[in-house]
Amino acid sequence: MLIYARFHGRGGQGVKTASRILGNAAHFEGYYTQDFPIYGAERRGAPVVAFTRISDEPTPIPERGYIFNPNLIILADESLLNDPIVNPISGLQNSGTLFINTSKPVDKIFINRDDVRIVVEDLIDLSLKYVGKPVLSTSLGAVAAKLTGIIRWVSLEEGVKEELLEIGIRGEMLEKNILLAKACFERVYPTPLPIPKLAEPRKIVKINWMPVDLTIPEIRNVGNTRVRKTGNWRIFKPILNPEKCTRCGICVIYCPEGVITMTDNGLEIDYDNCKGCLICFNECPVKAFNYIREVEAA
Amino acid sequence: MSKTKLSTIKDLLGEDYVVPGTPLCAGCGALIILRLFHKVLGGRVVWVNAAGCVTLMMVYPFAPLKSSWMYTAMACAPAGAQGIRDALDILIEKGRIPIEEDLKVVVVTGDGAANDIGLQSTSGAIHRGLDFYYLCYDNEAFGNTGFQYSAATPYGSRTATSPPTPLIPEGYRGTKKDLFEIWRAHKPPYVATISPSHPMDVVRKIEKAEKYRGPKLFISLSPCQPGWLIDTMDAIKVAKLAVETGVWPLKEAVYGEVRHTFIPRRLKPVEEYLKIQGRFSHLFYPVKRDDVIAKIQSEVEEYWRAVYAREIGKEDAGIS
Amino acid sequence: MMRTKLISELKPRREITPTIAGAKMMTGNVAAAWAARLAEVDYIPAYPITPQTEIVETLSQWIALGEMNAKLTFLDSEHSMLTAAGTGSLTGARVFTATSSQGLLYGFEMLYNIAGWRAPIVLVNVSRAVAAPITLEPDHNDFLSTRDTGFILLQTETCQEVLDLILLAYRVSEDYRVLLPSIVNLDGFHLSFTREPVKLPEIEEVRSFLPRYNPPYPFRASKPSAKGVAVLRPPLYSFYKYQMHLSSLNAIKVFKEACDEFEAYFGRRYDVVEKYMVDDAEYVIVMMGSFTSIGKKAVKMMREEGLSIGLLKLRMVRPFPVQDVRRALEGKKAVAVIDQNISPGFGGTLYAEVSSALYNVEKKPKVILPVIGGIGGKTLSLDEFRYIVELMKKYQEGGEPEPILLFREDELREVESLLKIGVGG
Ligand SMILES: Cc1ncc(C[n+]2csc(CCOP(=O)(O)OP(=O)(O)O)c2C)c(N)n1
Ligand code: SF4
Ligand code: SF4
Ligand code: SF4
Ligand SMILES: [Mg+2]
Repeated sequence: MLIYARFHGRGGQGVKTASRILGNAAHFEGYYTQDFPIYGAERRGAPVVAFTRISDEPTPIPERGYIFNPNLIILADESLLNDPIVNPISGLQNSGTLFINTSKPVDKIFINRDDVRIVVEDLIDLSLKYVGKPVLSTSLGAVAAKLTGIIRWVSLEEGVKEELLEIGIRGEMLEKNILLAKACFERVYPTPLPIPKLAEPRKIVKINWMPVDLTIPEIRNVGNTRVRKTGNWRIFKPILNPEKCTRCGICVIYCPEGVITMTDNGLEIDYDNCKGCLICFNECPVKAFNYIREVEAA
Repeated sequence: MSKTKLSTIKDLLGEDYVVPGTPLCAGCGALIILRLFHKVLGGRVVWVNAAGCVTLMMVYPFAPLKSSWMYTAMACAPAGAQGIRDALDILIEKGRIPIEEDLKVVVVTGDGAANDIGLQSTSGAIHRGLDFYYLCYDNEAFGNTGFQYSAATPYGSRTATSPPTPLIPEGYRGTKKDLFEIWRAHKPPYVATISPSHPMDVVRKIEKAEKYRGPKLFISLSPCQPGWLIDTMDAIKVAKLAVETGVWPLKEAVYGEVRHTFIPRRLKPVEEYLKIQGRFSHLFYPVKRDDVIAKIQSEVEEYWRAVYAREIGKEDAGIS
Repeated sequence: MMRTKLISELKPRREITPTIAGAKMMTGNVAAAWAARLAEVDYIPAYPITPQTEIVETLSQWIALGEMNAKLTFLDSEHSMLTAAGTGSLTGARVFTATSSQGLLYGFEMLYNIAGWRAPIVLVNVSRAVAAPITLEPDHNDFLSTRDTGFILLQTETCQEVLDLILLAYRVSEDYRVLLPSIVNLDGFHLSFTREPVKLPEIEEVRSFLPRYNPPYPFRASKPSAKGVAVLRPPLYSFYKYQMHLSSLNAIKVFKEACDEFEAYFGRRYDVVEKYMVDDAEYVIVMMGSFTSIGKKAVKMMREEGLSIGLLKLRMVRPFPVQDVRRALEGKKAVAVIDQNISPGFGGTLYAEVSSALYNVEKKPKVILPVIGGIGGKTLSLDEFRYIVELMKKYQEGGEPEPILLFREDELREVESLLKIGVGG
């Protein structure tokens, strides 16, 4: 038996901690376990990914690195679902489980696969209720533990405790997190997860010498980052009320991303890349900005 | 770059040289100052960088800067600047490249690189009179590696390597190195502190510095959301408070002569600055550490007494 | 043996006829400086260290006198010096710099960077054994520590070779099939401070052999580029590194081509290796650097005594000239590799490289003997070479050779007496 769980979220949402909570819980349950995160260049708010492998073999797991063929995917943020770069459901095994943290009901979730099971839950809501903050690590870890179908509450409770103590959460806050974990654990139900299939065989190629214009590691197509669409980092979307705007230019100067441009017709915001920091909202002297919660990927 | 003087915010709304889509954190103070600095300097620039958060702006195949960029290593961005400057100079002198192809050479590093590992190469570059700009974005810790304390971390800050504990309740026990004074001691033509919250002050300083040949150095306060544990929308607010409480004086030194460019009429209490940052939350919760806050306050006042006395002739002018 | 000259023969003669026509007596350091001058380098970032300093002193003087038009900047350290060398090169200048042992290691981080940036500088390393314990005398540990950096590594035996190989290094480094920096190594004292006749080529001929560097994408206001950027995707990093490897391998062919041209211009013949009495030899000694001269003399003497022996000198160390080494050593009865370096816990570096080159060769020598000698400037004599031959013969009968240190009885006595003074009692 093998569980290959892959967690997708944004930097700061706690997917690494969630993968470790699952790792701890499986470890306490007596399974050989492995968990790890992958960091990129991206900072807080950017998509991140973490993994937990669980095995019932009595030996260390003979695998390393990215999980390409998960049977369980935990998505911390629905806005990542249709993100073409993150592509969070890639490789999910037939009849595997996809969990999405969302306030939407499951019949409002659309993906281009009909051979996987989708589970939804509004973890932000639960976290706010139990902990008072929209923290996701504990709730994601708890949901994941339950969806594996092989972890009992006692092991999860120990796993949450150990992980949170390690990152300095104790006392009342720890108690609240355990109650949150319990609530999450009771909310979702597992179905058996498929055995992860091996990837299709791929060909090994020979790398030949190429001319220097291709092989110097430097970027000559500079200023090419609009295509990155960092708008998908956004949790809140700034909305301008043009009536109020005096065109003073302050938000243009303070916007870290430079996505606000002053044109003859007033301000233009490049929502494809606005990260939703809301400095514009905070600094506009006439409060011409408002904001709303983001749901879909930009 | 246009040679006309930039006198209001509205003059700054023209061409931008940092394209959206950077991988830096939402609400990153370093990015605000970098963008503004670039606007004022214009596009004919080569940035020379040392390891830090800003390094990760340029990860193959993406480059948000429309200008040139040279990442060196953590200790040696000023030496990298020297190599580029020297090569441009000799190639122009030998007539191998036209003067129109010349570039302004601008070092950009964090406080960690600036304050110790890169201090030797900076000192060398200043001492040699290298004609370059240096922009140090000071987020008061090693941000890129996860916010460990650096030589620029202020007393009382929580960092990943100075966690407040029952044994060490105030967090970081050291003091912030005075990089401005270290740089100033070399008597370069221009040194200044700046803050992203005060863009016109930044503009005037760069315009002034541009008149000098030689080292022109800037230290910018750089609010850092994940490290300072602030709300992303508060980057500018925090920076403003740093200036208004006197924690971050705005000043310049021309050939060593210091002048403050913003003298608060009345200093706000440092508490206002500290309490909106999670990195200082242990000074307020579970018990308020009046002793630590008072120590920070008195150090700020001591600094400003001297400034008020020297620059407006009244030592306690702005002190309540 | 040379006949002792009579006093009368030593009297100054009327017309002067130097050993080599047109040659001038100079140290290896001055020969290196001359190479930089003849290559008309644009930029020299510098920092002093014994035994390299004379190179940058000489260049400073020429520039101060106006005899040479280059920008020379003394940096605050070798780390800074190498950084400036790399970025100066990426800006389009032809860059020369020099250092030695501690300095090389101090700037080590930047060696990988310069190569990775594909900045074709030429760095002269004047070999000096690395501290601790600190010394001024040479061995090759400093030079060989750079073997994985991506630099092209060339090793010299004479002062003439110092000059010639620096010119060849620029040709190879700046060739777009290679575009990697070079280190040209000369042994401290034995070349750096030793004077020999050196023939200086004519500047016009050098210009034609080594045309001005044409940088591919230098920093220019009209053509922005981002260099030295992070590459976080594992396949991409792997791709770039492997391209460096393939480009380095190209350097063998490019060097050989350049050597042909070099000979046509200047009349001196070089190759990636130098075979001294190798072709018909049954026993071969492999070594490099200035002590090769001593090795050649020993080989010649043993030949005169009837032993079928030769010497293979490695001139190029990176790329490692695998084919040339194989063709030179296949079919030999025994080979000994003298390493003038030591990797504590293994032995010598070149031994591993030569052995791995020969392993898959059908007619590989039965014995490859690992020998360590000349560490920290300890010289070699005929006795050591005779001992090596004895061992080669012994292991031909069987047995598995382990690395041995060439150390004479008189040297051990010297060490013992010094220990007595230093330790006391
Ligand atoms: C020689 C060397 N040592 C350590 C590092 C690891 N390192 C990379 S970035 C960094 C912190 C830089 O701190 P700072 O200059 O303040 O910039 P910030 O990360 O805060 O932007 C460190 C320690 C390195 N890259 N090179
Ligand atoms: S800060 Fe407010 S008023 Fe000024 S330009 Fe922006 S939205 Fe308009
Ligand atoms: S929220 Fe406002 S300030 Fe922040 S990136 Fe978006 S437009 Fe810019
Ligand atoms: S960690 Fe701080 S300095 Fe680094 S990118 Fe994020 S906000 Fe900017
Ligand atoms: Mg920092």
